[in-house]
Amino acid sequence: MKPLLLLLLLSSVLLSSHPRPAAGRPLRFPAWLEEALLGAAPNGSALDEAEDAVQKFLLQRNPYLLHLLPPAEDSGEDARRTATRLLKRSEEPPLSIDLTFHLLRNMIQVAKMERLRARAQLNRKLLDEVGR
Amino acid sequence: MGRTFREQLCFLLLSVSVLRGCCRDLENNEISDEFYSLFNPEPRRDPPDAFVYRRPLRCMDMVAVEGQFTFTAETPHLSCATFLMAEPSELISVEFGRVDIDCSGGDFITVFDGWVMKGEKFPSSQDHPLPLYERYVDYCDSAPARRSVRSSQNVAMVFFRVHSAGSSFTLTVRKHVNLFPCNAISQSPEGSYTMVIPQQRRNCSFSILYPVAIDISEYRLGRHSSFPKRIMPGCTESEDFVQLLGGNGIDTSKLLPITDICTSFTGPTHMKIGCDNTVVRMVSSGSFVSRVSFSYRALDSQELQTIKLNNVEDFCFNN
Repeated sequence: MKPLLLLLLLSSVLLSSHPRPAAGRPLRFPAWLEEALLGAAPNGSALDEAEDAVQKFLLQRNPYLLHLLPPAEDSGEDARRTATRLLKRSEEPPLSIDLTFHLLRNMIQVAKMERLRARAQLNRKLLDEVGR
Repeated sequence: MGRTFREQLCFLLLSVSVLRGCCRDLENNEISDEFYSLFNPEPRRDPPDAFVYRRPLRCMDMVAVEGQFTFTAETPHLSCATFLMAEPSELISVEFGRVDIDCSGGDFITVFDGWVMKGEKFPSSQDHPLPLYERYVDYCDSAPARRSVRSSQNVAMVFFRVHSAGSSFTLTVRKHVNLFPCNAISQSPEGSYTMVIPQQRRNCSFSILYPVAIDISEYRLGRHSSFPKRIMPGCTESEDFVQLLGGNGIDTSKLLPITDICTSFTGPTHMKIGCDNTVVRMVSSGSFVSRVSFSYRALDSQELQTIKLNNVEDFCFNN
């Protein structure tokens, strides 16, 4: 039960739909939390410590997330492995745009044309000043 | 007062007046100071206001020009991105200004040092000097001192999300000279480039977002007396080499190697690469001043078709 609660707490943190002000940055877990999760055994006090660590971390980030805990069943080892995978996934860049290369090339060409037009506009202003 | 003393005093006063340059008539140059400031060789921070380029920023945008770009939300925009691009030998700086967003309500403006597309980033983590989390600068998280962000190469990106109509912000984009450009994306499908790594242990990539015919004219490892002799064939154990990579993404660590060059040579090496992205990547141990020169042009449709038909390993056409 406890490993499951640990897993669900972590899932809630990572998959929550509430965007945080820091939503633009990759999620960074403190080193002490990572060590607690990775070092927790399936049974015993180490797992209790890991669960306390996650609760403490969530209270610091967003107390609301502590209430998102539906009950379910799982083995301790699987929960720990899944929690570790979720942690690693959080290191991937969270923001991305899906563009084809064709579209990207077109946008680059349009931006280049804009740069040339802006340069021509600036040159015209400079020549107008010189001509006064 | 004696006559001689009066004469001396008058002479002194006259001399002082002459030396101070007091003149009745002053020449007034009516040409504006703003115009002449453009020709001032001393580095300045802000161009004259009349010469700053301005336009509205779109939700999906590409900016390759210096200026001020203002985004004003008429409706909620939850997934917006602006690509910023400069010449390969330039860096980009982005300054936040007049920001009116609701950070606590989930709005954000984030500058990324590089480009991210389909989850892949350029430069890759192997080629960029900063760890990934330092490449993101979030306006809502950063201190006032970090309201200006400078990129490490000629590309950068701004992601933003606003929930409320009326939210707005202004970005001031400037370009700066990069004396030793390392990673770059080409703006053009054709051109030439020389990449130099001055005795630094680093990897540098030049990315061409087109299938190209590429000519590597020179690869040189210089300024070291004891250049190691090649014992093993190939470049397996070499710490200094040039790679040609190709693929359909922008992350150079996920592209497939087409060829490696690990000995100095002068003379054209000509290749046609039919991938959406062609990359010349130089790996340097720091023992030498590494230099590679190459030129490239985009393949036309007939050449692409020929490559596709002849190519046994058609890894670039697997989509």
